[in-house]
Amino acid sequence: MWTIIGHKAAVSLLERGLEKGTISHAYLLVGPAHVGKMKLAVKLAQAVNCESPERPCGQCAACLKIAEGKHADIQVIELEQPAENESAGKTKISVEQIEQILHSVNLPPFEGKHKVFIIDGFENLSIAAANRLLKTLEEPVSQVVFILLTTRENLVPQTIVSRCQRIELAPLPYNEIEEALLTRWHVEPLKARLLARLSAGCLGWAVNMVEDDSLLQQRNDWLDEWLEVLPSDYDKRFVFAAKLVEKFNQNRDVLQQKLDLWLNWWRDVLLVKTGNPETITNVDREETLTQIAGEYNLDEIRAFITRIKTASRQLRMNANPQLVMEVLMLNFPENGKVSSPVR
Amino acid sequence: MASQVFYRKYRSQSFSDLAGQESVKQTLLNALKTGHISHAYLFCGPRGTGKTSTARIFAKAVNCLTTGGKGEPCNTCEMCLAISEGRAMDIIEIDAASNNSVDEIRTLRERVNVSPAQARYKIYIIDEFHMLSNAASNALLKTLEEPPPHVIFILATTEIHKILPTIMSRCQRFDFHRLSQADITGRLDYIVNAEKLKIEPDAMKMVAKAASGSLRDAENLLEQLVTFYGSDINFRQVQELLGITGDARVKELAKQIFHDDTRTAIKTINSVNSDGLDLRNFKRELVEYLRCLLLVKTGSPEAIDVTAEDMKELKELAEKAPLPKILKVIKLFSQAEVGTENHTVLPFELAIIDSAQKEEAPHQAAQPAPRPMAETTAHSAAPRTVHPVENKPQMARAYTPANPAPVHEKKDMPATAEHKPAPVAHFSALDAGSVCEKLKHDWRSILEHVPVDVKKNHTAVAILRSSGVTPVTFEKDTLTISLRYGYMKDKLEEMENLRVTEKIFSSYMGHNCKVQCILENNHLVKAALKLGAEIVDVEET
Repeated sequence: MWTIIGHKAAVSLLERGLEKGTISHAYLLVGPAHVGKMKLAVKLAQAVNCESPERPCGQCAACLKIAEGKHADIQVIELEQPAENESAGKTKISVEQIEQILHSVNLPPFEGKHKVFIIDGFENLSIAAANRLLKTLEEPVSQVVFILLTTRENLVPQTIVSRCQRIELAPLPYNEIEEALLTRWHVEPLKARLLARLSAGCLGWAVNMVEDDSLLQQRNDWLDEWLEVLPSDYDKRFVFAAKLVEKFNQNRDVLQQKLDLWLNWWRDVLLVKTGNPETITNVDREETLTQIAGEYNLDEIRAFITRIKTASRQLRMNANPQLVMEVLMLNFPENGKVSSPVR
Repeated sequence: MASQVFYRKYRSQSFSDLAGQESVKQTLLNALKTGHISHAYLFCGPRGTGKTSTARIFAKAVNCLTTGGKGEPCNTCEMCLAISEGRAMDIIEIDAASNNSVDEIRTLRERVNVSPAQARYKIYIIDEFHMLSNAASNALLKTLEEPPPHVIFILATTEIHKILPTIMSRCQRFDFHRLSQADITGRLDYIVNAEKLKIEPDAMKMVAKAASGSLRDAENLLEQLVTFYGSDINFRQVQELLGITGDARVKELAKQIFHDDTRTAIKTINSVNSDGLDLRNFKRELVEYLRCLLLVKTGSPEAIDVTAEDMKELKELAEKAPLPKILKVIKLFSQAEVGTENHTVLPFELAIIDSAQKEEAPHQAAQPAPRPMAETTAHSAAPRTVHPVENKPQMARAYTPANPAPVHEKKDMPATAEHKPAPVAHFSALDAGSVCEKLKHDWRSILEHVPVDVKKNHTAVAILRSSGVTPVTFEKDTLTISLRYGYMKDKLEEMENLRVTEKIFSSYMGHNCKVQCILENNHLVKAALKLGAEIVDVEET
């Protein structure tokens, strides 16, 4: 029982590999965050170690141990958590971590049938670390399976990719997520519809939202903030900009997420404007969307989307956050309501 | 694992097995035949082209007992078998990436002197050599130059630029090239026969194409196909695995774009996305289709290979679509940023909307950048750029830096600084003035569309972009630029920067022109000039 939602091609590829006994020694799973890479990797680890004929059964001792993360032969390598006396976390998976793998690769499995090394976030490997894996990844001893997970394939060296079976996990279609949420997590239909679309095809994200209500609430709050600022004058906008960048240094992701949310909103406006309301993401606010789409013309909407994208890119490139946000505030689409602060 | 993956199972075991790399094979075989074996070889080339395999084959060839090291390894003698199975103690394969410290190399140096136990030669295969630390590489230098007679070094790397030149000069260097599609299909054919598979020739071609010259990639792909679809593989299955959509919706989308049916076009692209198709491949196919359209439109339909039915469709579409629009759409879509990191359809949607925009409109809406003030009535109506952007790179290339860049002595300054505040007196001054106006007007876009080969020099462009930098006069193919600050002027007058600046403006003007720099007069001088004063001398302060 794989119990994986979606990713039919990937699962059946692995299934058939198991049947024929042609499981490769290295897999590279590529896909966006929360799409189910780790889930699939753990399942594969179970499958190659499972004791019952129908692999992975999820019932036998090995499967249970792996699911709990207690199996001695399954190693998960990821970014090290920062030690207590360090303020910032590590940004790279270190050479030492890889050395440990190289050492234990040569030891036979302790309790299971195969040793499985799952490297999460392979793009975080330093160049030296990735190179150290090359020879071992090409021709490891038997009974070893490497599973490399990455969200950003273009940061993985080509020499590594070429040594692995590459499996791409594409985002799931909306309706599959919607259905999964309805049947498995018993979410009410309206919320399921919204979450499916907000998740952009990543089931893990949607499930997080279901389990933690505050996340959805947060999204609503953020959106309300933006919408409140949209028709207001420059004074309020600048106050808002200052507020946005206040905690930027502690956590850069928040602002980026807020911008993404805003970008997504304007994409919806664009879709409504061009007459495709059935493809929008923010389905719970269709009325507001329609109203806003009515207020601006297509050029303005199109131009504003470019500006949000520019702002988000500039933030990634370490521009002064306050300046970037203020410029964005000045560049809000005008429909004649706001007078320029200069004149 | 119980079974090995294809690229390990079917690693080439003799030179005749090895796919491609004819020149490498020939050279090594000749060296073996004549006994001119070097003590150090350097194999470099992209992944999956046969470096490690060749190293191992060569190790076998020199040590083969049957042939006496004079040609192809026999693969049957005790020595060959031992090497193939990786248990020959005189063939030492080192992973330089994991053993990259000086200490490891020092141990290696000590052991080099011990003569081989069984084999004729002791062979060190040092793989991933580029990861060796600098100190470690240097520690190897002397040994690499004059090793004991029974030792051969084979260094293999994918990144030749990281190898010290002193290492390179001590080795015989062999460049491994990306394999041709024919080479890959040849090797795949062998695997297909050995595994008793069946695969359509077209499908095979597609696998070879997708591997982009790396045999290992091709073998991996074949293996996935076999695991997934069993031993009978057809063209459609390969397409499916590679995420290639087939062209129905590509054509639809192209049609909708040229009919300005934004609404349906967006619907189409969203349906492509929600079906879970690979957007990158879809983009590639769309651009390819648009290219066909372009070729049909420009009257060279014989250059493309499509069915008569498709050709009819293309021709119909080409009749309706104006050439500038085709060009614009191709540009928009080939610039749309879609990748594995970014699964949204937004770039496509924006491209669709942009292509439906009337000329100029998207440009102005997207870049409400402040225009230079010189927007006089006459020029605001004139087209924004006199020379189309497409021409610029060619022109820049046509420009040979053979004619000497003018070097300005500080002494010359007063002469060139003869500022003409109002271009009235000189008979060609009016003309020159308008060139300046145009330049001022287009300043920003000129700098934004700097030819790529020039762009590497950021200094000049950055200075030109700074405030207080304006063109003043343009006379006799010499453009005078005024700068507000002395250090900017000094910097811009450096040979290299001046050359770049000239290139930029030459490509804009369409013919070679020279550039002079002057300092901007301060406001007092300006006021005086306005009142009719003349500059007689300039003193450096």
